[in-house]
Amino acid sequence: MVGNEIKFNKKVLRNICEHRIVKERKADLREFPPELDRELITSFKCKGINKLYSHQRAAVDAILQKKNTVITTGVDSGKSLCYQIPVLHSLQKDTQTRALFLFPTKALTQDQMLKFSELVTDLPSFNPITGIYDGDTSAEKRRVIKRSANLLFTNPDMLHLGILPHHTNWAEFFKNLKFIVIDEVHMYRGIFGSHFSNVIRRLKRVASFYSADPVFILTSATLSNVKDFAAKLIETEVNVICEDGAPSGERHYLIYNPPIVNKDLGIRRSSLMDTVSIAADLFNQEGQTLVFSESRRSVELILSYLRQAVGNESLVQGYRSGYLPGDRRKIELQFRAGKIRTVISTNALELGIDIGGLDTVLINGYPGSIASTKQRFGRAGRSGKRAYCLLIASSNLIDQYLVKHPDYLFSQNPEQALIDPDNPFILLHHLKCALFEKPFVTNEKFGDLPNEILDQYLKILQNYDLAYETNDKVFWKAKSYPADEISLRSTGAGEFVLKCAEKTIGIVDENSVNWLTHPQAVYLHQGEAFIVKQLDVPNKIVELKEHKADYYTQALSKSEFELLKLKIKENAIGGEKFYGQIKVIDIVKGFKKQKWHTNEILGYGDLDLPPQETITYGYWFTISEKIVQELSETKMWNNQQNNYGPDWKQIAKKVRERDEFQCQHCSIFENKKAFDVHHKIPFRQFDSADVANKMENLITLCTSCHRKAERMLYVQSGLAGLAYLIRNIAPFFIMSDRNDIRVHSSSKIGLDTEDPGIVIHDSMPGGIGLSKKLYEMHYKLLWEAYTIVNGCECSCGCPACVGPVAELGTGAKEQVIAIIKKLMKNK
Amino acid sequence: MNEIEAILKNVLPANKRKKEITQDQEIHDLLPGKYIAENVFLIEKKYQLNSKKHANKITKFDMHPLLNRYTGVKETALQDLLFIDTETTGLTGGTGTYVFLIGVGYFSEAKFVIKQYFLTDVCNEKDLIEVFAQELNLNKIYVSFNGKSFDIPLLNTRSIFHKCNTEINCCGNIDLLHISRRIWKDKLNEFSLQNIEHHILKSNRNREKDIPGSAIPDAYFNYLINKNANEMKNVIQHNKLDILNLAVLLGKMNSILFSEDFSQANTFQIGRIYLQSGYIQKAVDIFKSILTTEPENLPVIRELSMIYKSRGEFSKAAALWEKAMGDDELYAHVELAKLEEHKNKNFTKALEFTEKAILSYNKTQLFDPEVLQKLRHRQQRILKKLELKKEYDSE
Repeated sequence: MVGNEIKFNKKVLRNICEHRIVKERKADLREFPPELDRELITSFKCKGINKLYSHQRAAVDAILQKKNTVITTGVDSGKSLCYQIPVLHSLQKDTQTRALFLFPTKALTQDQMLKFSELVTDLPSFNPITGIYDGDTSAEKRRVIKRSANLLFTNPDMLHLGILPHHTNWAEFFKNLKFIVIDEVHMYRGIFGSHFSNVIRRLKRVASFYSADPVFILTSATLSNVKDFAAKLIETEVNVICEDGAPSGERHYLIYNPPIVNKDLGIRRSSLMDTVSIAADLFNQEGQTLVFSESRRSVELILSYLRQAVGNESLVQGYRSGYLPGDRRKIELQFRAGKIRTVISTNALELGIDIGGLDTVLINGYPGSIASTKQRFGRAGRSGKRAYCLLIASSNLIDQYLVKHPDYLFSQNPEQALIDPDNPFILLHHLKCALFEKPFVTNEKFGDLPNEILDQYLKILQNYDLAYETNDKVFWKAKSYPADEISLRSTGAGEFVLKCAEKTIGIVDENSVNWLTHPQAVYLHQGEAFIVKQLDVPNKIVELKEHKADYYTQALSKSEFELLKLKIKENAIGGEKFYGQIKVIDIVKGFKKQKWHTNEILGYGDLDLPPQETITYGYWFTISEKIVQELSETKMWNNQQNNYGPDWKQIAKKVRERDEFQCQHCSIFENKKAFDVHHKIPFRQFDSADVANKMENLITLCTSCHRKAERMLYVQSGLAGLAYLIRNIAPFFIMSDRNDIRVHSSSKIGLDTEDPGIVIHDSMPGGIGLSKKLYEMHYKLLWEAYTIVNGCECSCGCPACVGPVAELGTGAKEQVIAIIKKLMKNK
Repeated sequence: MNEIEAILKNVLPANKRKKEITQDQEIHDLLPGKYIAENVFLIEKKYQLNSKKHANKITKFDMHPLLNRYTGVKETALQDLLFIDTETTGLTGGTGTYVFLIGVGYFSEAKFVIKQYFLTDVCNEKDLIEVFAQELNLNKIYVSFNGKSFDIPLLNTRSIFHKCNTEINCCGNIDLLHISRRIWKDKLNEFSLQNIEHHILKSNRNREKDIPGSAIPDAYFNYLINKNANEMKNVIQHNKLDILNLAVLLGKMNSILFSEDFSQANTFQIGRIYLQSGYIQKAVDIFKSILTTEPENLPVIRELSMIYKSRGEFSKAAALWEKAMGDDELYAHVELAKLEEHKNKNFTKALEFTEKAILSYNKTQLFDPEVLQKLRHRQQRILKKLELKKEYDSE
């Protein structure tokens, strides 16, 4: 590596589709606040901290004024100091001060506590007691920590399960609680965040029981709605600090898009193999590189290919959960010391863990959120040196979308973290826990939950014998320990346990069981593939086996909808849009096997599963009859005439005979001109004409009815393509997992409308506000869908736009474009 | 069913509550006693000592010094003991478990007194705790069954929860569960108070009337809703029997210790109690007496050899180790190796014992790489010492 500059070879350069350089930035330094404890300042100066960055100063000022604050400056900008200073200042004044630190992962908790401990050694007048309280803490240590720890480091699960339900053991802690620090709050979104927000409600309730009024200090990655999100999470005003005053070296951001190898199918070269070759190139230039890849398996693959490519074992190491903690510490240490050149990791190294600054970060495939992409990129860079950050795109829709919209990665993050603490399932569980912690008195609040709703829940709990009202108080009335009944990572709406070789590896929600874990389904868990051996409904167990084949499965389900409560109905361009509470009835009829990467269909299977009902919230929009007509008139038929085979004429005649020359739709009889014979499942969806032309698939229709049927089909494949687009792009804006929402297209959705359209709903029963947000983004969603399909280089649809050709036929791409155009203003 | 209820129907219990239509029968209709605070009902009963009327005869006894030492309480007179047992709305602990019955028993001159404080509505739990704390918190040593980890912490939790000024502190706690587990180890399969009663005290409750402990929380909840105290009568009776039996059980333990007849008990464990309480010579005597009848008792050999080692009586210890070595006890090889290496400086022998230890490790099912690593380390060190010695000898 010459002068810290990385030279990419020509083959790589050719596929770099974006290269941005962010110039070096000087530090914006400020003095320590004058009111800060003098001895504390002296001790900081002894440790080499002579001044504060502007954002640190602003944060310290705000926190000292007891303002709830969220700090959202860059990775490695010294966010921790923003809360460490006020906490230590308070400790110097009052040795009884207690502070609670919450981290989303155990590893991060360890790391941050060590850092804090270093900071508090040899403080002038007082050394606070620090302690970690988590599942690994010994009983002996627990006793000491409960009694006397000033600085308590723990995670939300432990707070929920072990601390709040036993708050009397922590009475001294709560009485003196002055600060609640919540690190990396962007992690608390979706279901986890909705739970967490309720844990905060409980925490505040317990704190106020001991007359404490702590200040909240939050840190977050950048989000487009950080202020609103933070305010919703802790249900109080927050002050946002986002101007970053930390210095930064010159940074190079690059997006590498593997070349297309099959234009018809829109298939690109594997991002994994290109990641290996780029990593090998960097290795030979002696740059220190961190490679991220999603699954544990892909980490192992890259590791072994890369070791082969560079002919060195010891300088290239893997890092992921499943490695022994001791081994992990060793790798961290050696990487920091420069004794390892390349580390390949899962997201295990994304948050916090100190591994020092690196020359280059490579990410194999978009990690699912901009926030985490930025977090990973932030691992590159050390003072005065250039940093290189490369995203190697996969052929997924969302990766290809980012290739076209690089601004999202480099400037404005469009992501919104969403939560809904009032989801009935989540709320019910936490109200049980809250009731266990302390009886509810008349008119008591639970966060921002409206009192009449709270009363309804308390009444329900009484009706079902879980609560008991006496003397104007509602008491917990069961011998169980309610916090045990729910994990913060699951919905609580009933769940199945995932087991592999007798070991529990996770859980799946009851309402997703049929379509994610039906028998023979390929189920993905933390990036690893498993095959479902058995779905044990009575015992709520899904038995899995490791799966090495190169295909995945997709459930073929039919969904019916029932409108329960229409909340909003508005005219939209080209149709209407709706939002409301719906009942979804899913019937999983079978599944198909599809090849990875190419999405080629390898086969089908039948299933016999009972229907499932979910009550949730949905957003749906329709295409008016007028538009359907317009669309079908302009492009009635596909460009390509189907070749129905040499025997078509005889077959068609046989069908007409079978149907007694009568239109099977409107019942009129043939008169002079022969009626049409229609394929119920479109001809182009079959591989062979023989199968497509089976008698069961054919039906006699009069010209007018045939036209209607074809029109519907035309709209249907267009709608299916649009649904595919929305399914893939929507999670991008609402920071959700692909399975958190479900998208259906239908010629007749039947939710207060007769028209065809698309239904998007929360998969979580009761909803967590995802579809509501998407409803508000109606036109944005359509516009983004349009830009994707319109800008896609494929010829007639591919996995990166409307879905694989094999599924929708060759016309889908044009149809989707035509439909979206009708649903938006002319731009 | 309202909207929220409809959504939640899968996670709510299958049945809604039904209020049973019964005649209100409050506790004061069924049992003699008096209200001493709002919703706190006191039932008091005095038992004549040595009475023939009761199946469980309560008699006076002396506290054996071993029990005092072992439980860390000061020398105790019988009047200082407070037998205690609580009934609660759950067994999990945590702030959502309430106490609704506190029963205590104590010796008072020629009588054994039982006082039971029963809470007739959970909203007055604070009064229950305060009344209890005021009346009985005076320098008493609690005697309980699993009270160390359940009853006492729970009473403290309730006291903090209600911000009571009085803390439920105590001068000591004799937990009969822990002691029973030692004295009757391997003699009983289950250490519940009922099982001990049956097998050790040879007394049986009237099983038809007795309510099992696990059913008590729900019984109390039912009572809260239906205000029919009939079942509570059984709970109160259950609690009373528990307290009586605590006194009988402690008496039994003392009589075993004083009589030194351990035939029905686990002698080895009693020896260990002596050892842990600092009565080393007594422990040695007990262990030696076991070896006279069971010379091959390996755990006894191990304990005894370690006492000899700590006292510096190496030849006695070595004799026992050599005995144990025949049974391939890993520790015996290791101890002998240590002895030869550090004390006798016989490196050849030390090496021999270390190698035997490694062989012995490989034969066991034990998987503890650290143990093996230590042995290999020792082996290497002794080899070096041998080498040096050879050089030294040749010079």
